[in-house]
Amino acid sequence: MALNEHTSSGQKMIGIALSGGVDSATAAFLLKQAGYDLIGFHMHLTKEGTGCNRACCSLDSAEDARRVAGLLDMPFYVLNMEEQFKREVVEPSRAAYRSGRTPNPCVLCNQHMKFKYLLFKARELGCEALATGHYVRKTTEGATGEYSVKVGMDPKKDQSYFLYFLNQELLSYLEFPLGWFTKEGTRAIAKRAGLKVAAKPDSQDICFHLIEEGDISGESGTLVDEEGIVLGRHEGVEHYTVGQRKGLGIALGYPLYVKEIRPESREVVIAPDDRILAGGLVAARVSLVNRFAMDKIKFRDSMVRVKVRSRAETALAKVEFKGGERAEFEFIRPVRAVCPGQAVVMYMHDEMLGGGIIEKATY
Amino acid sequence: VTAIYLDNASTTKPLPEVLEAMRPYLTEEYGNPSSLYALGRRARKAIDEARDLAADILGVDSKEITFCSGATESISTLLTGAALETDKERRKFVTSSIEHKAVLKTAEWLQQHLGWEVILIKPRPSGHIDPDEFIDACSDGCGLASLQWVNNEIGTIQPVEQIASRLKGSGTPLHTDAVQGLGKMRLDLADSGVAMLSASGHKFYGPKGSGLSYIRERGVKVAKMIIGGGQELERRAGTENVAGSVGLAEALSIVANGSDAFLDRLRDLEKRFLSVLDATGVEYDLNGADPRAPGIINIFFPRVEGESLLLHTDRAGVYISAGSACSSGSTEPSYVVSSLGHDRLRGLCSVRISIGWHNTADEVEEAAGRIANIVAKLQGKT
Repeated sequence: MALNEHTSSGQKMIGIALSGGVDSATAAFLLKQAGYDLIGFHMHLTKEGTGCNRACCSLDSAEDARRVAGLLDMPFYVLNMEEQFKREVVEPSRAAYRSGRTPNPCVLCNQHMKFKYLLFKARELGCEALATGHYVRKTTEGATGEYSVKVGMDPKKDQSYFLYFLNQELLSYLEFPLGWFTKEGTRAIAKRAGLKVAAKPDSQDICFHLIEEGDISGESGTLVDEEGIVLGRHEGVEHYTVGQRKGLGIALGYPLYVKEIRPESREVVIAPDDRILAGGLVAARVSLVNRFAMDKIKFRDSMVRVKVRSRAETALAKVEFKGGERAEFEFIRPVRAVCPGQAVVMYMHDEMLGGGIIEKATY
Repeated sequence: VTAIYLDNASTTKPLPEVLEAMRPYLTEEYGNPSSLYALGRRARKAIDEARDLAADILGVDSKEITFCSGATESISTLLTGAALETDKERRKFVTSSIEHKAVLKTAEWLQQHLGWEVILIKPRPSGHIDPDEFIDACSDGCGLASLQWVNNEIGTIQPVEQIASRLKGSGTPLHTDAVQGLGKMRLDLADSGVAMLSASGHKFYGPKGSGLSYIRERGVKVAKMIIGGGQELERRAGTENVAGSVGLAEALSIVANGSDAFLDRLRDLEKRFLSVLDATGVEYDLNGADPRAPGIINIFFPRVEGESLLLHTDRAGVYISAGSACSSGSTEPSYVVSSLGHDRLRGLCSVRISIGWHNTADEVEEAAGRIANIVAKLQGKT
């Protein structure tokens, strides 16, 4: 039996993470066009029948991914990562909710699933790089060849926020072919390439559903104002997010928001609009993408633009590195709804410098 | 690189004779066996002859053989059909914990939809079911039992004949999933006590989409589950798969006739494979002990995830499998290996090599070498 599939064209072999969506499919197509040898991987993260129909974990997505691999004529493997997903994404996210924080499963999934297990498997199999359909640009600094990460050319689709943890070692193995494309451009390419997923709706890229349907055992507590006066009761701190307005069940004649969550006393602190504006924040596990990031930050008198949510506008802040991967940020103008557990990501112009996890907001 | 196919327990390459036997019914002899004119009559004759041939080999009456689409259909319809004909007070189903999913999932269905009690007998560490334990479980108002003849993952031969004969007259009909048994061992159903049997053509060098059910005429009642026309002696509606049934019978006759020489050959190939592995010095252990059907070897490679090994062997052109494929196509740790009392890790780190009629000595030795190379590399890494 002849084995064309295994005869190498002598080209660099690249692994491509195929989610079953249009982005990764198009990324694969672009790499194929560029002449690379590809191996497609799909991460199987949850059992079917969990009720989770997000594009990231349904059976359909594995099928869609398989079709893409077939069309582009590449080997395709579905990797069973159920256990790792549970251990590295689902459980920590649930734990975060229980402790009054708002987790970011997408960050965890990128960090621990894609760029740890999947990357390991791809490299083990001889892939020199792993490509994904993320909308970010990887570039190299002229003099030293160090990698930096720039926001995707399509500002609406930029995904650098979810990749704040990238470092030189990871970047040396990663490729992001879509960074230079807009979403419309991606869809147009997919359509012309005959990829069936061209018109597929955007995935939520989140597995909140799965995380929330699990046992987040609610322990009731109180809704209090900033003075500690009880305004009402709640069924568990895990149901609240800092900045949340809806579903508080309290009417005082003006809008009220969750300002703080205190898991130890099971108190959810409620405050009016002007009181939830944070003056700064404290972050942990802070990392920078390359060595120059620190120089750039110092050169600009420690002024950076930061994002505290994926969909937020950037805000100007002064950053002070505290050692031990900790940093304090002071906003130039107050920022609303700073959620512990979310990432704080630093930018300068179109470059993503790095970031960390928000520990607490300061007022 | 030349690919080496060592996954014959998944499916087999059809024999040329099988294809030849089928060809007329996919070309000029395309008639519907239910039609009264000559073209239809010839198709009917082909089906009848295929049925006679299969019945003859299995030592049963032609009327007891039904053709269908494969063992999964056979198992699902026989077990649910028999369950529907069982008295209320005997709603207890006994089977083993290492059956194929077709049986285990049907058992779950019986439990959920018909309120049956299901008893799963665990194998001994050797991979064999203790006949006394099985019979004991059947003793108290058991309406249906099923035991696979040869395990599809580890190749162990179950004491089906002994259990069937001991269950005779007990009121517990015994079904057997003979998918891996046919072609690997002699099965004589005459007076065996086996009430029902299921098999798939493509596991013994026949075509995919062809299957066979045996339902003993005496004492076994099975409700019709595929409802419609009166085909297959009113047991399975739908226009017959003439070519498939002819191909299945042809394949069965070839593997049955060549049996002893064929089995010796499989044993020899198995030995050669293992001796190459031994010579390379890689660490391994076999899952499941004798008596085993020849050709199925389940190997535990410590510290080597089956999934990783499979990715590498695919790249190296050696086609083997691990555990059972889940619907998304990813690999699940083997519940069969885990059932043998090993830890989960062993189920995760075991692969199945299944040798078939088409394999040559050179092939199995070459494959063992390639696998050993990969294993050594992966074992060294962790």
